[in-house]
Amino acid sequence: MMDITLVCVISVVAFVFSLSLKKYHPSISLIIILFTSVMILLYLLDYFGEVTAYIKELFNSVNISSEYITLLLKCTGICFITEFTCDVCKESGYTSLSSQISLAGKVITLIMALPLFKEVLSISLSLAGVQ
Amino acid sequence: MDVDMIFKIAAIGIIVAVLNQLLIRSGREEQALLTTIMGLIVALMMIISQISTLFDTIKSVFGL
Repeated sequence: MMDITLVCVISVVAFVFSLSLKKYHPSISLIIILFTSVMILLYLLDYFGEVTAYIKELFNSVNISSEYITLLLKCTGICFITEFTCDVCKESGYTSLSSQISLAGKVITLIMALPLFKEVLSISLSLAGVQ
Repeated sequence: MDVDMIFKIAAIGIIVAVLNQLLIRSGREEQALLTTIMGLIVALMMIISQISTLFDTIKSVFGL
């Protein structure tokens, strides 16, 4: 409960600073926002480490191959980085750059998921008794 | 969480804005521009290490 209060208070302080500096120094106000989001994300990733360890343990206990969960976590990491960069670009007004970054994230996630599609196809074919 | 850095960057911004106004009023536009660029570079150097830490942490947590 205290953590979410901390995050909210820090965000409010940062955006008040950023708003007051925007007129005189737009780049520094952007840097304040960037720094605050980096700090909040770093703070959250400490908790996320525990969550990923728990998810791995859960998947190991039900005997699902660990390569799938590694792939899933990798996709989540790509989404984190892409979303962060995309939002920063969008906020500074570079919408075209942000959509390119978003597209790159989607393509890379798709490429990582392609071997799974093949596996799903082969499983469904074997279930249907084609081969 | 390192909250002091936010205050530091905001202080850099305020000081640079004041210096900028002063230098422009006294007719030294080039020095005002240089002060602005210096403030920007100092703030950037402060956050670059944090961004690198963030990306390293994401890499290690998600196994990228």
